[in-house]
Amino acid sequence: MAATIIIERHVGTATADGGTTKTDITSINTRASQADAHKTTETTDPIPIPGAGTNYSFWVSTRLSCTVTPTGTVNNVKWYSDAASFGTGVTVVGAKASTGATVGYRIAASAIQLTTGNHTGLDATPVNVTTLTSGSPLAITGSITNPSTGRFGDLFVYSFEVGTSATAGATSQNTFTWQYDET
Amino acid sequence: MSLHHTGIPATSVYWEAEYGDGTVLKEAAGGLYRQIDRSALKAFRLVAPGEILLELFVGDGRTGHNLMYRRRTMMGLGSGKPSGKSVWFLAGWVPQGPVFSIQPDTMQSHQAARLTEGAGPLGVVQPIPAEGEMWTLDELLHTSDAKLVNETIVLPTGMRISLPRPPQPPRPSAR
Repeated sequence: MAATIIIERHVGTATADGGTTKTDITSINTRASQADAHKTTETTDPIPIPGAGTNYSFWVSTRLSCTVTPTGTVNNVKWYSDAASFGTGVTVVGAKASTGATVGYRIAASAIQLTTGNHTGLDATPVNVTTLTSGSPLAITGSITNPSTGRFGDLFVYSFEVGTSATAGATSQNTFTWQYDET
Repeated sequence: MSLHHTGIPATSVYWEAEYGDGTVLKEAAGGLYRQIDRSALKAFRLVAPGEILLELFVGDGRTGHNLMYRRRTMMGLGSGKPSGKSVWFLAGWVPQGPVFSIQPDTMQSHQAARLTEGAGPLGVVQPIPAEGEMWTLDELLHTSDAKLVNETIVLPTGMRISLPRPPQPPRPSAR
């Protein structure tokens, strides 16, 4: 039988197993806002359009979890976006995270810029996620083999950056994809 | 090789490995991909109840040791555009090719001489230990277009195999 793999969003304070709260966000929407919470449609805690400079969302931390073990191995995990724009003045940056005592998970005290200096679990400088495409995906380190279950692999952490030229309202909704192979 | 044309759910697709003596190892009966006796392989099939979706035969320089199979899942996150899960089955011969991928519920299929860089239905795969034993270093470097880069074998398909590091000499004990 094929493995069951889900995407989880981690929120809350950092623990050895990621955020204190993990929500299955597979195939649904999750909003980035100025709250450390998973929301599908709510528009509370919006990111204000700044008069100058840039405002940021809370970091969104996502990771795979295996709830039904594969018969063999799950590996070759990739992350990519649909490369579509989020609109004028809005950029989304992201990077994978694996370092640190909390498995790369470290929540921002506030909605600050996602950098390797602010998030010590990041493996590399965050990049514009629209550059991570199916033709040029980000390889996510990690695998899981029968009979194991549970969370595995690096996290992918991203953040919205809103500039002065952004327009009010929800951004366009784009699709992020996690891909994995199974034997 | 043959392709069938009826859409079916991915959950009902399994592989079968047929050996030269006529016996068949079936995933649906508990067979594991890593258990396939590659030296005895005659044919490899992707099947659904009553249907053969894809059938590959050894020959023309391809042996069971060149077999590659994966069940590839793409999980979309975000409701603004088509998302959800899509499952592709990849099978073929590495490094010679060809390689195939099928999305059974839509019966979309792709065929190529080699796996491609990046993700997607024919994106490169990551070898599992059973496959890492498929080729010796000498075979890889002298019978294919593989290259040795920073202790990693890079196949023309894009597949990469990291070479094991040699054991480190023991540290002298402190006195």
